[in-house]
Amino acid sequence: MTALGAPAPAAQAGASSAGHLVVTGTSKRFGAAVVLEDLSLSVAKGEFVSLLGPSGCGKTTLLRCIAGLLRPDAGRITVAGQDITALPAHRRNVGVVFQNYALFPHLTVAENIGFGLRAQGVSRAEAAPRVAEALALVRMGEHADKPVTSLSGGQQQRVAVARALVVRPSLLLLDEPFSALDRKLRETMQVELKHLLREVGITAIFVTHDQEEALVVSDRIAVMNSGRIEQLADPATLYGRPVSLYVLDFVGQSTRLAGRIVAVEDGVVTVETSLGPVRAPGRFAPGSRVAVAVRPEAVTLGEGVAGANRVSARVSEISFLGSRTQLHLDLPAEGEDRGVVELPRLPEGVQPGSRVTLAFREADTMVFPA
Amino acid sequence: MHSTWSRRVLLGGGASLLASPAILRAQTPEIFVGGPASPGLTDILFPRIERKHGFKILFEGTNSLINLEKMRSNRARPTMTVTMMDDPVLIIAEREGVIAPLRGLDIPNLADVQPEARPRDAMWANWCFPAASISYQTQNVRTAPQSYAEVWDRKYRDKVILISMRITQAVVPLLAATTLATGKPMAECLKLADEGFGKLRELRPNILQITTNPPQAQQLQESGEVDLYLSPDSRTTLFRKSQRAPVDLAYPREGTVAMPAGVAMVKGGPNPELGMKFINELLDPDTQALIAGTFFSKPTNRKAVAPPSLQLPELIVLDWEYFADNRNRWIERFEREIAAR
Amino acid sequence: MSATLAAPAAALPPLRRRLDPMALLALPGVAFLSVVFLLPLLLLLWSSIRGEGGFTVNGYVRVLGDAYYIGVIGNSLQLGLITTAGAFILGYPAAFALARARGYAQVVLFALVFLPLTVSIIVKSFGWGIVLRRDGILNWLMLNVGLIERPVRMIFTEGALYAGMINVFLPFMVLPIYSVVRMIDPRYGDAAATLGASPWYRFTRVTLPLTLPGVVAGASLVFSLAVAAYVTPSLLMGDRYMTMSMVMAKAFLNLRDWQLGGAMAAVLLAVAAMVVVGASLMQRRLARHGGAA
Repeated sequence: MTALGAPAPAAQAGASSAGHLVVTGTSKRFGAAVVLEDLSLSVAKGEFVSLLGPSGCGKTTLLRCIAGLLRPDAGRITVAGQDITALPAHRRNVGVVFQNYALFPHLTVAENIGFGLRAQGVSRAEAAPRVAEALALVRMGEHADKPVTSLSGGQQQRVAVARALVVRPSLLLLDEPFSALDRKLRETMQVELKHLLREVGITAIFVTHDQEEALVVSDRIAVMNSGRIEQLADPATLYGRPVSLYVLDFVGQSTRLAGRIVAVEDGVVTVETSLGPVRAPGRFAPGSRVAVAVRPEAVTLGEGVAGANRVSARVSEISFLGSRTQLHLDLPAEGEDRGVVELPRLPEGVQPGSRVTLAFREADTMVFPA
Repeated sequence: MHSTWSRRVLLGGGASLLASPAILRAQTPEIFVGGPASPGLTDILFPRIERKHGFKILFEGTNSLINLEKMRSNRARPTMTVTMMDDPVLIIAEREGVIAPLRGLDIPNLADVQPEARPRDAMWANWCFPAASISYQTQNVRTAPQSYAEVWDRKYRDKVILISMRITQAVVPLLAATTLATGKPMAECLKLADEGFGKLRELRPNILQITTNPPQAQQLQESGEVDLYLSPDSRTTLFRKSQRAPVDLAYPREGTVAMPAGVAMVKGGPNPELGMKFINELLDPDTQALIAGTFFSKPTNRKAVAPPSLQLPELIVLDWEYFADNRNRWIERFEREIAAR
Repeated sequence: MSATLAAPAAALPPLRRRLDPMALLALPGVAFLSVVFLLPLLLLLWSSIRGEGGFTVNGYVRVLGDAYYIGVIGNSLQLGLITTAGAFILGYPAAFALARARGYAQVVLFALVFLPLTVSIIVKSFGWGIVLRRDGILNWLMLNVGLIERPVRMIFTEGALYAGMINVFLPFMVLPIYSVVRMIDPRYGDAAATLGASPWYRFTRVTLPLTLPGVVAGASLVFSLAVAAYVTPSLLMGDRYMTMSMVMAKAFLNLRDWQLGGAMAAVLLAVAAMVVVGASLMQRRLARHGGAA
């Protein structure tokens, strides 16, 4: 592990407290389309950060700018204090695991892994033990001399990771690394890869559109929207305290009701919704149009604790998910409102069409401007 | 050359289609004539003969060697009555037994044709003598060359094009070299031609190209890229001159050579009496005057009077049998000693 | 074929499996080629070994034992090699430009590659005459730019011949390379760059190996066409640069010497066959290594 784990000399040289990777005021446009807009991001050494967002949000463009495969129109990118904005990709020492892996089809597994070392002028003799070590790290030793075209998806991913790590990059970028794998394998590989990268001690940036994946692999998640970072936070904060409806919707599910502020007192607002009044912490002017939201597991059936918000609604659908059961609610203002509640166990007598009372604590209720 | 071949095949196919329908034959008498695809035949000469004698001429214009190949493969049932081809090819045709002698046939005008134009005891006749010597570019060469020796002058470095020995007209520079090398009159030089190769080799610095594509060479000369071209014959040079192209034919003191243009009866061809009429008409003094003007060539009938605009000198008539027997060897020598780098 | 038939019956898969119905699709092509290509070819080879008294190798002795004809074969090979090399140097980047271009640019580039194919070589040769002659466009340009002081001779030079040959055969190099380049994922180059490979290293270790099947196909196509070229060298150089095909034309049309023509044709065929077989062996080796996926 030592060979792979040792940080590259360049990384040590100018390490600053500001962060290992610092992206400052970066913009990129393709013709009239603004793909990155004055974006800033700081990632600490050894940290795993996901860039999460739908396709077209700019996350892959940001990754390509960091890798040096695209030149931003404005802004600065530094790694370990060194400004790499103007450096071409091959002089940056930033590793990339590509979507579909981009393994060289004319080379064997070992040749693929040794490619970067040879390209950087490491002799064949010096490269061989490092390649062997990398092969062992990803448990691909017995496949060393196979053509990469004969490998399974999971094996290809491991080769791609080993190929990127063996040159000891100061930073590893992973572009949708699990999208080519089927669901079962994906879950296994997510944990395996996180563990492996942690062991190596590398700083990693994942690009993904899959919120569950982001939650599994990241220390912090940057939710991106139209070329900007909407919120950068650890998974718990992102889930529990999303800063906007966009983040709320992108990460996890929720029951959400549109309404209007009818009363304001001591940092608590009362919102009139289609299901009646709901109280929540927040600061809004009376009369503002807002949306209130609550995560599925924060809701209980029945009266709940004292002072809790209570609303009544009809169950439209029940989904059994194994460890929990999901209730979908039939809400009057469909489209604007939506209702999802998750319970550890389905109470007796509740079935589609039943009318139920939902209780949730004021503190768990979120308010967003509509 | 592929495109040329396919055109020939098309023409050949078209001609045999035209020749076969029996219905047509029953209405107007017609004969099938093979010959070179040169302008003047089907548009000027043949219509005149057709009008005068009331039969139809079906013509297939093609290269002499292809023409011979056709006659050979149709030997059992010839479709062609008359063939017009170069003498060196007619000699092969005679040896192959695919042509019949003109002597003794009902062709009265043959008696007035000069003896040199009735080769091999009137086996065939020459219907005209195109002239070949030096074609010169009149803008670059102000006065016509007086002697073939001038072609060797270093002022013509890279300014001379020769015709490939595979083309009959290439005999002219070979004879010129021989007469310059041996001092013998040009008329006696054909049998000495092997002695001319050394002299011809000395011409190499002046030779820009040895062409197998005469139209390309002609265009280069007219554009001024080359000064001297040896030797397209008068059918090309004087025709182009009449079209105001800046080229002319020189008449060097060593002599100007008659190119062969023969006409013969195909052995066993259909309607021989029409064939005789056709050949007799070709040799008629009035037709000969028309031929001289149309093909810029010397008439072979002594009674014919060439138009005043066409003043060709006496021509040297060669022994084409000797030429035919030695040509392959000369092609080889020419390629190895003159053309090769 | 004969090897398959001679193998022991037990080693063969069941008969039904051996007769792949897809093989029948080749039948019309095979039949057509037998009539228009194989039959004339056999007649040609037959004529090369037929002499006065039956079988003879005289034709081959005349071709291979004659310094002049060895020189002609050398000319043809040299012409083939230079044309192939020139077409590769010009065609390889052109194929990339073609594969990476989008929209109108691609249409224009395609036209530039294909339109020359529609112009007859005869017409082209007259065009080249206008460009290359002493008062031609190229001399005029170089005079005015000050590159030369007086017009230089370019027409009927070997340089002009090579330029013309490359012009004629370039599309046959560009198209096979283009079709391979189009299939290559541009991320291979990106991946190599992020691994620290310089542009030159990326080209020699990634791009070139991946496009090699196209290069092999293009080069063998251009070489076998150029080595057998007849029209272009005879128009651009005439008798001063004899190629194998020009000797064959002379032998069949002028000398009526079938033995010589047949023997020369057999030598040309052998050269072309070596190139084609060599190229397909190389292709298979590359395919085993994974090729361009």
